[in-house]
Order: sequence, then C-alpha cells, then structure tokens
Amino acid sequence: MSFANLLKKKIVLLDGAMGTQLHVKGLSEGVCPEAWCRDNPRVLLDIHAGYVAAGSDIIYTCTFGANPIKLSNYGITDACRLNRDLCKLAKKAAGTRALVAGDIGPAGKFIQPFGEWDFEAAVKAFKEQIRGLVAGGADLLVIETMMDIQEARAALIAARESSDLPVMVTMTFDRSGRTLGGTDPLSALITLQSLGAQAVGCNCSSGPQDMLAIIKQLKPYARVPLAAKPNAGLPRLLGNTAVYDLDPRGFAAFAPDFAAAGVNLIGGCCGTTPEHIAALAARLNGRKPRLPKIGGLSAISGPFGHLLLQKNKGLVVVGERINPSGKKALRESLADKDLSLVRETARQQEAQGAQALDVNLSVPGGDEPELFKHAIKELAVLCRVPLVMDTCDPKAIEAALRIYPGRAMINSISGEKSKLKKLLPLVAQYGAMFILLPLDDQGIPAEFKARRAIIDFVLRQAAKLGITPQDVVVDGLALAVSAEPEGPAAALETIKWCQGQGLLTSVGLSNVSFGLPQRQWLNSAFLAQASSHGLTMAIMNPASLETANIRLAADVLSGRDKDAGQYLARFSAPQAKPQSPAALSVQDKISVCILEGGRNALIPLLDADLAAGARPRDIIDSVMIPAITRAGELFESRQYFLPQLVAAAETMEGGVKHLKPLLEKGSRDTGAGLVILATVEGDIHDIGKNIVALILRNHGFRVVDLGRDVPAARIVKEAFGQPGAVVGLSALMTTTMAKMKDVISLVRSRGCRCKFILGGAVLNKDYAASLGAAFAKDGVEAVKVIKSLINDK
Amino acid sequence: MSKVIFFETIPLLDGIEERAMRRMGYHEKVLSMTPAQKQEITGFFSQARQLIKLQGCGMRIDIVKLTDEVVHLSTGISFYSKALAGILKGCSQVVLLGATAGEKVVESVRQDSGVNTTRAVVLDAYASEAVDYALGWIIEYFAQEVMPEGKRVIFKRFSAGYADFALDNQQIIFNALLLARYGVRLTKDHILAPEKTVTAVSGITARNTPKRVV
Repeated sequence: MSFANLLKKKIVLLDGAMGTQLHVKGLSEGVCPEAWCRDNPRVLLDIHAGYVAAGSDIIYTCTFGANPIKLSNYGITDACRLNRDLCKLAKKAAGTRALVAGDIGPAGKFIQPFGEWDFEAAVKAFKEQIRGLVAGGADLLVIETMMDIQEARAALIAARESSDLPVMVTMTFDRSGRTLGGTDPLSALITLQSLGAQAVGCNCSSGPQDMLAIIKQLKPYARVPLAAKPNAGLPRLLGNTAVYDLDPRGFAAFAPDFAAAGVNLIGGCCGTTPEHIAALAARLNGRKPRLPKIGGLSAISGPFGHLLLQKNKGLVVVGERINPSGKKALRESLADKDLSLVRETARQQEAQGAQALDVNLSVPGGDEPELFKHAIKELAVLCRVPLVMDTCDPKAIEAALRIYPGRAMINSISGEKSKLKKLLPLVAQYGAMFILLPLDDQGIPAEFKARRAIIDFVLRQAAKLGITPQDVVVDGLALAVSAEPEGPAAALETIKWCQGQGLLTSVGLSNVSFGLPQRQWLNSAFLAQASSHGLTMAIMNPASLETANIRLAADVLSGRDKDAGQYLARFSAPQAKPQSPAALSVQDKISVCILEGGRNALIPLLDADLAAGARPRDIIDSVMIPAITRAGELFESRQYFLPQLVAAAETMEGGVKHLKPLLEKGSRDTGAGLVILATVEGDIHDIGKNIVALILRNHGFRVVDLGRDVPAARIVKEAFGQPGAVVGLSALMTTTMAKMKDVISLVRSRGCRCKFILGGAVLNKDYAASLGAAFAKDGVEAVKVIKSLINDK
Repeated sequence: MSKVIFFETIPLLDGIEERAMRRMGYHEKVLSMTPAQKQEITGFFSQARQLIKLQGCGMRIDIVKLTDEVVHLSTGISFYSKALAGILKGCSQVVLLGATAGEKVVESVRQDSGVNTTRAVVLDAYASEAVDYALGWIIEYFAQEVMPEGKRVIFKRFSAGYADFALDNQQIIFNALLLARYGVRLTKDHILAPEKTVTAVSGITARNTPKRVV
C-alpha cells in the first residue's frame, strides 16, 4: 500500500527508538552506529522486526547519522553505499507488512545564514545520502530531528530534486516551544508544507504532553498529514543516567488525545521500545484518521515568525521602505553592496509595526540575484517578520526563494506571458505566495473588466502547476490619481470583486498619491476606502502616523477588529497628563529633569533659572545636588535601576558643565576632594569604573581617571603626585583582582599613606579589608565611603 | 569526533532584554519608569541588537582519563583542575564552548562611555546577557545532538579563571575552538577580546542504557 493510501485508511503507526535498542544490543561507545549495524545485520534485522511485530506501519532505516558529513568523522567516505545497504536490511525486515522510510538526520553542521556551511553544499551532501536510500528501495523519505529550519529545507529540496518519493519532515522543539534555531511550530509547518513535504510534524526533545499541544496548534493550518514521535516522557539525569518517565502503558495513554487532535502518524523517539509501539497500536485500534481539510493556506513565514493572511482580519501592513526608488543614499549603498542601510531600514519598520517587509534591491547596473542572496542572509537572521521579494528578475527570484529560510511572497507576477512562463514554475517549485499584477503584454488595462480577465488567466495558469488561489494576492493596481483620475476607482472595483471571489488583495499605497503634495492624506483616504472594500494588505510606510491610525480606525468600522481590540490597545492607554506649568517652579523642573534623566531639557531650564536671578552655586547646591542625591536614594531602595541612575548622573553632569564657567566668575568651588581611579593591569572591563567616576563628579569630586589595564607603577606615580587623593581601583575578574594587592603593596612599600577604595563584581568588603582598603558596591555607595575616608583625615 | 562546529549567527531571540533589565537591577514590583525612560531603554536595546553579531562555536572531545585532579582529552589536551574534574565525573566527553558578541558593540560601549554612559550601560548589559545566552544556546545544541546517542549534556559549565581552573587554560580553549575566526584575540594576560567573549567547558555523560522511572 502506498504512503498516501495508508494515510487515508488509518492513523499510521511509526516505529520507536533505534539508538536505545542498539545500545541494549551492544553498540559500543565511540563506534559509528550505522557501520556497526552493517557489520551486525542480524541485530538490526531483529530490531526492525520487533517494531514490525509491534504493529509499525512504517519503520525508519538505521541511517539517522549516515550523511556524508557525520560519516566522515568515522573515516567513512561511501555514504551512498552504506545508506543503500542499511535500507535493504530494513526492506528485508519489513517485507510486505510495513513501509520503509529512508531516515535523514541532521548533519551536525549549521547552514548559512545560521552556520558556516554553504547551502548548496548541504543540498549536495543530502543528495548523496538520498541516492543510497532510493537505491536501497525506500518507500518514502523522512527528514527528522531537525533543529534548524534551513537544514530541514536543504534536505527537503535535496529529496525533491533527487526522487519522487514522498517526504515527511519532523522538527524538534525545545522547552521554549521553538527549535534551537528559533522557529516556532506553525512557521515550520508553513515553510515545510509549502516547500513540498507530504507530512510534517515533530519528534524527540519532549514527551507526549508537549507534543500534543503542538499537534493541536498546527491542525487547523495543516494542508498535509501531521506526525508526532515523542520521547518516552521528558528525559532527565538521575545521577549520570538518562531516565524516561513513561512506561508503555503511560506512553500509550496519550494516543486517544493525539487521535482527537488530528495526528496522522504517530510513533516514539528516545526511550521508546517495541512495547511502547505495541501499546500505542492497541490504544489506536480502529480510530479513524482526521485528514487535512484545507486545500490551501494564505500564509508566509520566516525563521522566527509567520503572517497569516485572513479575510475579515485586520489589514496587514507590509513595510515599503527597502526600495531604492527615490532614495539616493540607499541606491548608492546598494551599488556599493553595502547592506547597512537595508538592515537599519528593516529594523525601523519592524519597530514601527510592519508585519512583513517588502524588499526591493533594484539599482541600475546592480547584480540583483547576488544582492538578494546577501540581503536574505542578513535580513533572515535579523527580522522577526517574513519577507516579500519585490523583483521581476527571475534569477533574483530563484536566488531568493532557494535560500530564504521560510515561505516568501513574490511581488509580483503579471499576465505578461514570457514572465508567467518563467516565474510560475518557480512559485510552484518553492511553494511561494505571489502578488498578481493585473496587467499583461498590452499594458495596464484602464477598465476593470480587462483586469478581471487577466486575473482569471493567471489563476488558470497557476492552477495547472498546483498553485491554489490561496497562494495568490491580487494587486488592486492603484495608479497615481494625478495622472489617472479614474485609477483609484478601478483599483477599488478590483479589490471589491476579489473580495467577492474570496481572493486576497494588496495595494502599493503610495502610488495613489504620486506627484501630489501632503501625500499622507491621499494615502490615508484611499486606505480607508480600500479597507471598506475588503483590502487584505497594504504595502506602505509604517512610519506614517496618519495611515497607521486610519488603518486601525477602518478595521474597527469594517468589523475586522473585533471588539475594537487593536484600536483600544493603541488609543486607550492612559495618556500621561502633563503637569500644569504653573504647578512646578523652574527649580522643581530642574530637579525633575535630573531625576528623570532629561539630558536635552536641562540647559534651557538652567538658563531660565539664571535669567530669573538664581546664582549658579545655589542652583547646584540647593537644587541639583539634592536631586542627584535623591536619584541615589531611589537606586539604593531599588526604585531606580542602573540606567536611570546613570541618566540622572549624566543630566547632572551636563548641567554642571553648563554652570561651571559662571561659577568661576562669581563663586568659589570648594570641591569634595580628589579621587584617582584606575582599572588594574590585565583587566579591560571598565564600565563600572566609568559610572563611579561620573557619579563622583556629580557630587563635586575631582576625578583623575587613569583608564583601564593600568600598570601598578603608573598608579603609584599618580598617588605620589596627588597627595591627599583617595585611590579607587576596580577589577572585574578573580584573576585580575589579585593585581590590587600588588598596587597597594607597591604604594605602601614606597611610604605613601593614601587611602584606597576597591570595587568590582567579584570583590567584597572582606577582601578589601584584608588589603587595608575600603570597599563600595556601586557609585552611590562610593560617594558615601569616599566622603567618610576624606573626613577621617 | 573532535571537530569544531561553527555557529555563524546565533539568533537573538526574546528574553535577552528581560535578562539585561534584571542584570541592571530592574525589580518590576518596586521600580517605576517614565514612558520616556522606558522608550529610551527600549531604543538602546534595539540598537544593541543591531550592533551585536552573536557567533559561537563548540566541539566535543573524548575524555581518555579522568582523575580527581586532571582531565585528559583525546586531543592531547589536559586540564588540571579539581573543580572541573569534579563536575565532569561520569562524563565521557567534554564540550568546549565559545561565544562572542563581536567587536562593534564593545567599541560602541567604549565610545559611549563618558559621552552617553546610559546607552553604554544598556548596551553593555545586553551584550553580556547575549553572550551568556549564546553559551546556553550552544550547550542546548549539543544536548539535542547527543540525545539520540543516549547521552546527556550536564548543563553545568565552567570557565577558565574560576576556582582552580587556571586562566592560562584560556589559551588552550582559544586555540582548540579556532576562535580567531571570529576576530577574537587573547591578551597577554589571557583575557579574551573583544570584551564580550566567553569560553567554557561542559560535559557529556557516558552512554547509559536508558532506564524508566515509573
């Protein structure tokens, strides 16, 4: 029976752990399991036969680690032959009672952009393994225990390019509910099912309880059967022994829940045995499978997140700013292959609320495919949101789709026949979504009817390649109202018609206002109109407050923001009531400004106070010092944390600098004392010392900061040159704190009686006391301790 | 099996901000911030993410002999440390780990000190937490790699310079992990530079036949 037919008939039973069984049967430490099995075929046949007898419908070949990379660690060079031989053994054991899945595990190297391994080299390595599995007669391929979505993709692409066998992919999710690479289960499903996996799921790492939750979460979005292969409970160490909590009965007790959740294939991973599988078989007996119900899924994904495009949900914002058109700086940096602006623009748009990012890298004379490759490597690891590839260059599209570790959207494909012929097969091959531009070789139709004909034509062509209407977003094609007064109306009619047909829609929002001033108003008005016609997504500037707010309002009015949840979240947050200017005196404002770290606001306030007749010395002594002292108190009582204290100190310092020239003219500056600060030799960690210096200066101390990695001799010289100074030493590491002793000993041996204060993360009061020095845990305490050291004189 | 595995980009996922906040003394229950303060710190975190390139590497090495005081490895390396030998008891392999946040963030902290010290403090805290997170991430990688082999990572980790594990072992670890690949250097005092770089040693248990505890 074929894999597909088996899935229709029943909940398919997979096998259990192989490694566990091999260890029981005598596999030694440090030996390649796959080579050992080939040398001990009887053992392997017995294990396979045990699972077949237990009821497994599919058994996995013992080739989990038989990829060329892992085998090379054991000096084995013929991966293809080893895979073939082990697959033949599995076939022999399975006979006609079970199918054999050629097992492909992680290669033990991370692939670009997450690792150093070249993507195409990885595909090639997996192909070598797959050739062997196919030659050995595998009925299907299973890519399992994947912790990096890019490696899963590389193996899946290798499988699809090497054979027509069905492919199942299972990822391993850790306690955080993500793969080690950071991919959540739904993003993985979206990526893998669109790329052609015939079943997707999870295995290893966790027990049935956690995996059940994943299957429940995935089922509504699964176009393909779902698989679960949990461990026999959560593995943990008892002493140094790995233990699993679930016996066969306890393990199988989850079977009905898995069946109800919609699992289509189930087995066991680490710690499971044929007894576990037999128990599962008994509990699943007669239960009907829940086959996937959805034919298509409108969703795109990246390695760290996904975007579901759903009718009647809030309008989706796709950031438009990574586009060199009209942006000289971006154009020039792209021409120089410099992607720093692309990264910065991506980061800004995400922060501004973009749910996906349109990426257009088209510059005259630029190598677009290469630019896309580089940009995707950068953006894929930087962005939490999926990418939309904005290019018409088929080579750039293929380069992008092949290496993008997610399901991308192409912007755009029109009805132009030559482009359709090249681009639709790429969409089908990589399972992308695309934006359908309703224009053709005759240009942009002015009338809606002609646009509709193009949409129908492209959808028909797409369907021939298995591309569903859910994989398509129709562009309303909003033309500039300044040039085409009827353009916006035609776009709205297109959107309205698509809404009726169940098609998703998009607009490039800023097109509509091209050539006119104050474009945000036209953009916003058009967005509201389009939203009322059911627009799904807008490619727009997420920084525009007008359009962002209109979008939220339109979502409420069109019923897409149920209970106005998003709107309320944006607008109902309590607005800070600005205190009446009359309520605070200028000096109160100075105090608040220091306390709140308002570095840019202080100088005008000081000038206002001076203009009102205040003396600089009085401002410092009566207003600023009490304010910074209060900041210190708040820090000590944990109502402030370090950045607040430092911001207050910086604000204070800026103010003192501003007043200092005035002080010299009309007042005396007594100063609190002199402090020499240094981070000891060998230690390069000095941020703590810098903070202490800042706070000491705030409190009127004169600070001589010698920097970091300062030799003892230099500190001694300074101490002699500045009689009466307190010497502060800092060290972050246990290894460098010993240098403090050297400094103090050297100073004392020269007869200098200066006082020392020590600080640093690894120090304490006792250690400092043992060297005859004082100690302070932070800058606030340092002020007090140094004052007392000076007063002790 | 002694090959270095390189992780060119370790994802900076959610959670590092919270850890950095705690590192800087944030106590949710008692601390209050103005919206402007909150926005400024959030902005600095965002800049930190831009500046940090979190990379790392790791390798498994067989332990050939483990006494109470010395760990002898198959590559010829020997670590003389009672404390390290103690945590590796029962292990068949060590894992050497290294991670760096890169030069850019450290340079920014340096430039900001005295100019925008608030930003320096936030960048510094974020980078410290990021490299710590990276070591945990690499350990998790090995934990998942060894699970199908019936082994476990012990998760405890030990760095040169702590207890009796002498700092000059940093040189051995640095060389073994080929850390120079990421622009990491070792000072004459065996301090790793750029500053936000860490190395550690962890262990992998010998294989045991899994047992069930019911």
